[in-house]
Amino acid sequence: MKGLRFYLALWLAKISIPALKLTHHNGTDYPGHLAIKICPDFLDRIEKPPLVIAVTGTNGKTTCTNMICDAFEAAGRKVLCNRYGSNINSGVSTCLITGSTLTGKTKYDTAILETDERSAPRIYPFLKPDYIVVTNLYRDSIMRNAHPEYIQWVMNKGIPSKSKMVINGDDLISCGIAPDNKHIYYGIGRLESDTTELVNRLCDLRICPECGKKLVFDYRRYHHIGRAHCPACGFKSPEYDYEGHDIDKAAGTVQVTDKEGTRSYKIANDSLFNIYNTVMTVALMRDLGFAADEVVTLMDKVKIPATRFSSIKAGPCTVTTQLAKEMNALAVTRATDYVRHQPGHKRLFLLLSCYKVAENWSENMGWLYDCDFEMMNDPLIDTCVVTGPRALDFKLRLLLAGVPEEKILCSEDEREAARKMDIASGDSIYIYCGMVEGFGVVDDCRKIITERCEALVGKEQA
Amino acid sequence: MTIEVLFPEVANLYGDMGNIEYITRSLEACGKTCEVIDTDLYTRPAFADRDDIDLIYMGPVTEKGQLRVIDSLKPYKDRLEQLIKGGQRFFMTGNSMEVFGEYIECEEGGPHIECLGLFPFITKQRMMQRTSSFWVGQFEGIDIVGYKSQFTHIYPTDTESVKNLFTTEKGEGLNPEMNGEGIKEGGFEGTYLLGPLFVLNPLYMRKFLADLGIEDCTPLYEEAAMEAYKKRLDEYREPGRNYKY
Repeated sequence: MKGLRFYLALWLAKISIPALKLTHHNGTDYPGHLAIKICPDFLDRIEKPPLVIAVTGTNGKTTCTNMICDAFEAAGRKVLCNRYGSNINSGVSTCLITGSTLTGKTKYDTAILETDERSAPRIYPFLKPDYIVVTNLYRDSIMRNAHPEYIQWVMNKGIPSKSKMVINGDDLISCGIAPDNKHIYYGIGRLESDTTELVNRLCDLRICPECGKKLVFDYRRYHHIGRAHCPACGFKSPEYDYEGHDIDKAAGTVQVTDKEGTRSYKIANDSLFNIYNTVMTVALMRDLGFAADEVVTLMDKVKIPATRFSSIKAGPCTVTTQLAKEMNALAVTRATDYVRHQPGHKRLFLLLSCYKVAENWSENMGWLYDCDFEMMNDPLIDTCVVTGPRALDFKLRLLLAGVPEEKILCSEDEREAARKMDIASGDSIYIYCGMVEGFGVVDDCRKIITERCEALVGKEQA
Repeated sequence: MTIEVLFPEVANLYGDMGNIEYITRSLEACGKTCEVIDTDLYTRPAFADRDDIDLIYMGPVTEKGQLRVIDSLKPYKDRLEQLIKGGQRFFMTGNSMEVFGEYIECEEGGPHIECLGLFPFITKQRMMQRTSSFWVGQFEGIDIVGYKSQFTHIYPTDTESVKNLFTTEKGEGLNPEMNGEGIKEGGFEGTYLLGPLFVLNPLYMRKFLADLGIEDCTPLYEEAAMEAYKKRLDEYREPGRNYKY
């Protein structure tokens, strides 16, 4: 029995959707917010699709949600998905409202829902996901997320015992989530580039989570990602159920081995963290019973959302927009590690000040000292442009990282920086953006840079 | 100069290891030598046997890590008391100073964790009530800026005998009802302020080094640090700016 309060909440929320569209407020979580306000257990009461998959973790949630959704849609499933990442309880409710009839029945056979890791206790007990995919747990916003051990604790308060966990087996922090639930582990086997020593500033797991003695890494990919064991108590990384290996970047493939054999799957992007996302998608699809050959075909249709990574040719230059969440040391480090290994000379344009916070508060910049800005001190990185309200903090951090002052352009005015930065024929320009798409700064700066690049054609011809 | 960094494998949160890096690199740039001793949870600390440590430092720590820190320091409680009374310099950031108090009360009416009992204060931990803010205050006439992000607050059990490190101009002190921020007892200094504090506050860094007997050393990239410091200070003092996140 859903009750009058539920129907009132559902109908008013549904009425609010066209009203929001008319007033150009698309994509907000207001309908879900309204429904929960009227009916606090709305998320529990609304009917869900027969298969519910939740995707969570520190980094890569939106990318993974979109990749899984692509695969399901390619398989002909009718998928309900919050592709744009409105991921707290009101956002998830909004998504379910849009996917339901006026009587609260679902119109979909599958829901793939990005969920905020900190909101787990407010979502999972009511959503009751069949699968919970965890991409990774890293240090994130100091203000909201504190540290991964805290996020692990929060998540463990809300996960239903029936949910199957799809976990990155190379991330021992994620492995500690819902330890009594069924775990399916995916990962990527040892790579030539792996080390045993820590080469990053940030590592959130240095001691054994069981006994507290020093953890020994058999190999380390980056930060705490890799395989480790504890000589004192025998704790160790889990065995993979789905192991990625033999990455062929030229061919754009990764081999994945499971208990039935090995297949080659297309990778959506050649960065290691996106190859993890590919292996994760394969693991989930295979565990759901899709045949390996079918998954090979489905993975051909899987893409990285353009809001995460997009690259365009502009005159004689390439302009790439790379999502790198501000306040997230690891995201910026991973993005930089990827960029610095790309061929040729590059210029970096950092739009990483937390603009929303800057309006009436001030961002905690401690994350700069967890982030490997030292990677920007690279002979093939010719310019680092630092912008926004915290430009001076970035400048100091770059100097401390050893970046020569003449390579740093510091301007609080982002658009002015885009107009002033040196650009030359053949440049690869990487724009790092945080979660600022809505504010137009990224679009404006990209437009200015792109137009300047295109103008080089005329100058060259002249 | 010799710095002992306590338990960097767990006490390394929020970029605050940047404090030690900034001090050591500034000293090196000034031609000074600086030895850093990293002491892990299961190693006998250098301070236990040596009297030539100039500074003992510990950064913010996870809650589970805090329990391990307490266990690791308990055998050295008497030695720590002796060092504090003798004027040994300590600098503790974030929640690391809490282990020197009486106990940590986990949630209202919940269990409490016995700490070292070297200072008359208790700590209240509320894991579902994270408080984040920025902060402006003073130390001996020097303006200080910093951030706070914590699940805990310190409450002195004897307000007369707990001296504060900083006075607050905008923000919270050791707890929402207090103006005083941090703990200062002889050479022991502890603060909830994050930053890293020395990077954010080049004037305070100079004063800190001078108090350690290093008068002729400027913070590395002092000009850039001062520009960022002045901007932050002006910004934090804007009347309309909220200090709480």
